Amino acid sequence: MLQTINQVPKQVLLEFYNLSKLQVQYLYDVLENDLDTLYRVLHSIKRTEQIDKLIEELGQQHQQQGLLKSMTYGNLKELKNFLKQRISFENLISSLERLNQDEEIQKLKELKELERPIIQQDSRFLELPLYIHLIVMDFLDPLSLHKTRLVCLKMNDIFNVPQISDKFYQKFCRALFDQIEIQPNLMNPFDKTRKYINENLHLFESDLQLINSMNQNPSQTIWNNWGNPQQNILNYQELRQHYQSHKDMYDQQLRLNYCGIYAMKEYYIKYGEAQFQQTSAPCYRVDFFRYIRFWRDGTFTMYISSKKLTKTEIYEYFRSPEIGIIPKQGFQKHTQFEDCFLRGEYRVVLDEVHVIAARQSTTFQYIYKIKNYQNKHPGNVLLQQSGQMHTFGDTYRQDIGDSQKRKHFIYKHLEEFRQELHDELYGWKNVVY
Amino acid sequence: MKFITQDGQAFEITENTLKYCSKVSNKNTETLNLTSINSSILKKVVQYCEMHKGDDIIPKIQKPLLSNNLYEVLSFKDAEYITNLELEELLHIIQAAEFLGINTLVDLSCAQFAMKIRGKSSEYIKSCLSPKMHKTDEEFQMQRDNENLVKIQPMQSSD
Repeated sequence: MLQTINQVPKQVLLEFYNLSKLQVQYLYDVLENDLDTLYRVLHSIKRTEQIDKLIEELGQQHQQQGLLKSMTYGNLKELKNFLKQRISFENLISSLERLNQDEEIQKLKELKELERPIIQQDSRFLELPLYIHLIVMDFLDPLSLHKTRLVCLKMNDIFNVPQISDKFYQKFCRALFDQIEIQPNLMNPFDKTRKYINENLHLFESDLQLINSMNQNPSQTIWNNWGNPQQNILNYQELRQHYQSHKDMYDQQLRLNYCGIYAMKEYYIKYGEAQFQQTSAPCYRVDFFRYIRFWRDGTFTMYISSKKLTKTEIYEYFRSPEIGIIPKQGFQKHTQFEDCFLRGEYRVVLDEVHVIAARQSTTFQYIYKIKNYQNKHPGNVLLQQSGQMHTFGDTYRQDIGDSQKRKHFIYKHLEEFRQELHDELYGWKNVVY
Repeated sequence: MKFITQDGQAFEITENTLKYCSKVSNKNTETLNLTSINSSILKKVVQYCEMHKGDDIIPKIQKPLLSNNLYEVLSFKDAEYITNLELEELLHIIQAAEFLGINTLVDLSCAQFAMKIRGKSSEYIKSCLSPKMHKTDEEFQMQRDNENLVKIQPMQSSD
């Protein structure tokens, strides 16, 4: 009997000296004497407790085949994470038992079951033919589609067929990237101020007289055109060539998100004055916050505040694009309320977002770069590349040189906006994300 | 044409109403025994056919659903017809419509089903799709009592 068992070669035992001989022998037998996979597994999972856990799980019959497959063909990092989770879970339970806290143990056990609810096979909906499942799936938006996929195994099987899933992703990608069909009129800041001045000539009479007396070509002295004349806009058909499948496009292609808010924390330094017989003057760092929400027409609203906004306030201010104009009670409150809002237009140019806004006689232009921070969500972060401000007679340009300390917006998705998104023309597309 | 249902009730239907039943209109027989369909559900299906007797074309429902309100997506008649139906009735209607070959009814009821699922949590969806437990004896007795009450009431009004 002992002679037929293939013994693990000595090299392996010496290399993995912290493991006992029995453990390694067991794994060697389970993997049917395959040295390569043994090496791979032991290299990635080095700790004794994790290997103990592995052997425990292999002993259970319903998990054995899955674990074997993942050891030979699968991703070993995920196996390691799986084992770590199980160990930490059991450690939690044992520590709670020591403290005699039964309620929390029950709660944790319930959590384990609720992770992925799966329905039984008896329900009448499952007896219906497959094309009816497809019809129901066609009517749904992506989020509810994926939720039902988690719940209903039959729908999951239908969706996993590559031809069917490709059609669904094609539909979603078309909605996301074939979006702004009418190009918005992005005027230059110079043109915008000129338009504002032409509409309100009575306010600027004295200034215009001064300029005319000094210079005969005032337009040359005020501003020169700047901008990006070669603005390439994202098109669905051009994008299709870059990706192999529609699912890759949906997951990886950077996009602006419309169902939430981009928030940023900024600061400026304010210089005070020195007191009597003081050699140095104080300076203060003033923090403030910016919140942006982009709409599907090509417009956006920005709110600038000194405090962090609560969820209810965000929901009030960003529910529809015209909220900034609706006056509140009282004249002073009305003006204070309006000062915080900026309404303007934007255009997506490949990676970047060009944003223009005007308030009275000043116009602002910002350029943000869309990025995917930590591979969480395409269009997670907006990095500020440049900011320009133009008033009547003055210019102020701020180009950022340091790449380390860049101001950035972070996206926060808000479910409450999903049901009440404004935009009748592209109503269903707003439901996508 | 006559339809005879599971319970034994007979429905007489003209040829005009059977415009949309693609599987049935071709056959020349006069009576059809539908053993899988309940009488209460056939009533609803016939109601739908009679509603759309005069319409030449029924417009298709836009996919995917645009809003949470059925009245914005469908015509007024259809929306009134399909709201306030329970899930089990919906599934029975889907089965019956699929058997008779009425494609527009299938689309309608699937749209209502999708509307119920849309935007809800996975626990709610699980409760929708899972079957009901077997009825206890008490619940059967309650059902029989309710049916008896319905029979007794017209007798009392005649007195």
